[in-house]
Amino acid sequence: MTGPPLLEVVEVTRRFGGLAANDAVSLALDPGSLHAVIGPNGAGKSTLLAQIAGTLRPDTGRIRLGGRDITRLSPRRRARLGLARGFQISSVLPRFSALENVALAVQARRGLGLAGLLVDAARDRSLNRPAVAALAEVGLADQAAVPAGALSHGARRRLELAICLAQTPRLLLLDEPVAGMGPDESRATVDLLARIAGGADDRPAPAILLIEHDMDAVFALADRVTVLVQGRVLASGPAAEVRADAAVRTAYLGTAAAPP
Amino acid sequence: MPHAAPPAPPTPPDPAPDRGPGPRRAWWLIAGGGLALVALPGLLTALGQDFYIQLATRILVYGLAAASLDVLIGYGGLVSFGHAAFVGLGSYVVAAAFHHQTTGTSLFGWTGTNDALVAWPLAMAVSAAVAVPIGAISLRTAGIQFIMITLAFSQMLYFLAVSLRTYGGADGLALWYPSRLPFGLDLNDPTTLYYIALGALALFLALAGHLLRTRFGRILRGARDNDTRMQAIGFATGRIRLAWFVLAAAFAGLAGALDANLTLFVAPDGLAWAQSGELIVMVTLGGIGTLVGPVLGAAAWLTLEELLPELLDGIAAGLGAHWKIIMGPLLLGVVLFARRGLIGLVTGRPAGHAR
Ligand SMILES: Nc1ncnc2c1ncn2[C@@H]1O[C@H](COP(=O)(O)OP(=O)(O)OP(=O)(O)O)[C@@H](O)[C@H]1O
Ligand SMILES: [Mg+2]
Repeated sequence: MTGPPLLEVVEVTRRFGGLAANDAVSLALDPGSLHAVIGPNGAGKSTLLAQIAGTLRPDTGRIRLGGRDITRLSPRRRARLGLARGFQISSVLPRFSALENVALAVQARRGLGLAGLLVDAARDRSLNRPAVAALAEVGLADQAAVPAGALSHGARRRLELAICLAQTPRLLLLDEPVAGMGPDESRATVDLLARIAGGADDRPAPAILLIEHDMDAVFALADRVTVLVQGRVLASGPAAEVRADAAVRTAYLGTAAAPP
Repeated sequence: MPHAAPPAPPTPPDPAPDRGPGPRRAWWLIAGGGLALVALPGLLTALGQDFYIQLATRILVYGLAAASLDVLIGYGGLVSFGHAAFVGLGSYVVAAAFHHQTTGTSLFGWTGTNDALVAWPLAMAVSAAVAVPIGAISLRTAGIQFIMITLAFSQMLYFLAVSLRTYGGADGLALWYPSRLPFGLDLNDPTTLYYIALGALALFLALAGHLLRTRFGRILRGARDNDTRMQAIGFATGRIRLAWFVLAAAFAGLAGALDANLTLFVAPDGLAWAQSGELIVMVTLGGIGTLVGPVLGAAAWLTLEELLPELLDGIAAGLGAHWKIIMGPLLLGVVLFARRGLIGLVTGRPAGHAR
């Protein structure tokens, strides 16, 4: 892809005590591309994502979004710049209905306005209509009224995707979105991710940074792959090249990744 | 697969859905209760018990203070342990304005006022203004830290009141007569103050009940549920919480202004942490996150406080001084067996959380 990258992570280091969870990690994401980050448990994948989202600050290094340095911005400001995020453990509002969870994401984009003080938000169609559409997209339309806390694990995972979709992000960060799902649901969610990556009429294709352990999912979806091991980038490049890389195969895919 | 899929996190037990404050199902309670409250002074007078009009007014005033605290505790998840300071501040504004006017003194050139239409809004404004820095600092913290820092701020205001010699220091300040009202209304008539307190309470319940259901209120409730998620989708939850904190303080200030007119006396004790604790008890007793419940909590607490000592003295002389011995277990009982508080007993809603 031509043009400047949408996301640039430059030599980011983050320590926890003596442990370098991220050690001079760099990567770049083009607009509309899907970039997977793989690596064994404890490699520092979630730490990297948290720094891009803004809930963790890097010790050193810079992060740029659309050319703008966001290293010191709050998560909220980054969201305003078009960043959406799914958590490794689903983060939803358990006491709000699935619909309201998504409607809140729409509301965050729209702001308060006078309606914010006058209208019953639960009946606000300008919020609910896009929310229903996002729920339908992830296959949760029939559970719109269910409190998020009462949803199944997989449904809650997909609800988080709907929340992210409703934000209409430029950059979407996902931390193991299919983990813990059964084979059918997992396959359906991979298809869903492919659709999200493709964009829609009312929503341009976001760039996606995907952390995933499921290699079938990774190589089905990713344009590029970065392999993280013990906080360092072991390999990075087009998916096919990384898959063929001998070092990657021994360090990660070949051994630790052998199916049981 | 490189590692076993993590087990699905357990579904939280009984997540009581948040539907916003819902007088929809409790409408009959509000309508019936409202009618009864309107009829109460007449009833008491007919029964020759008009002494109790003052107690009823006290319940409405503290009901207002408790309901405004419930907005923070029940809907914001913000356990403020300094709410009484804003009530006391409102009282002091009314008393100070009265003091300057009646003694012919001035404060920075201001000669005070006894006009309710000036002094009461001023009480609200001062409480709100003081709540801005206190809230801005306190809301940077959460949980037990927030409890402690709000408590610390309220104690600072308490000691400030103690140190103000002009306003009586630790002894407080007496008002010789209540605020002056327009339209020939006279606050020397307890019934007038009663209806004004009822109006103020109704206004607050309607306003807060409405605002909590709007986008503005949904941000407060959402941040209580999961602040991380709310910020991740782009909400400035800190600013919204501050706005609610200030709004709650303003109405606490109004309760204080009414209280000054009811007791015709203000003292630093009204700002102290023990008073804030009583407000928290009223909220808990009545039902956290129900808005109307804390009014019931105030009614139960203040009525027992009034009647228990007499009752106990009837059993054995001197026993009345120990009325809190009964109050403690009673509170424990309600908290343990009626988890939605007294309002839960009335409406029969299942135990749970703020809606
Ligand atoms: N808040 C923290 N405090 C201390 N150590 C941490 C913290 N967060 C992560 N770590 C450590 O940093 C390392 C990287 O953790 P991280 O969660 O980023 O790994 P990961 O690649 O996401 O692993 P997984 O595949 O299990 O999710 C781990 O050794 C972890 O124990
Ligand atoms: Mg992780």
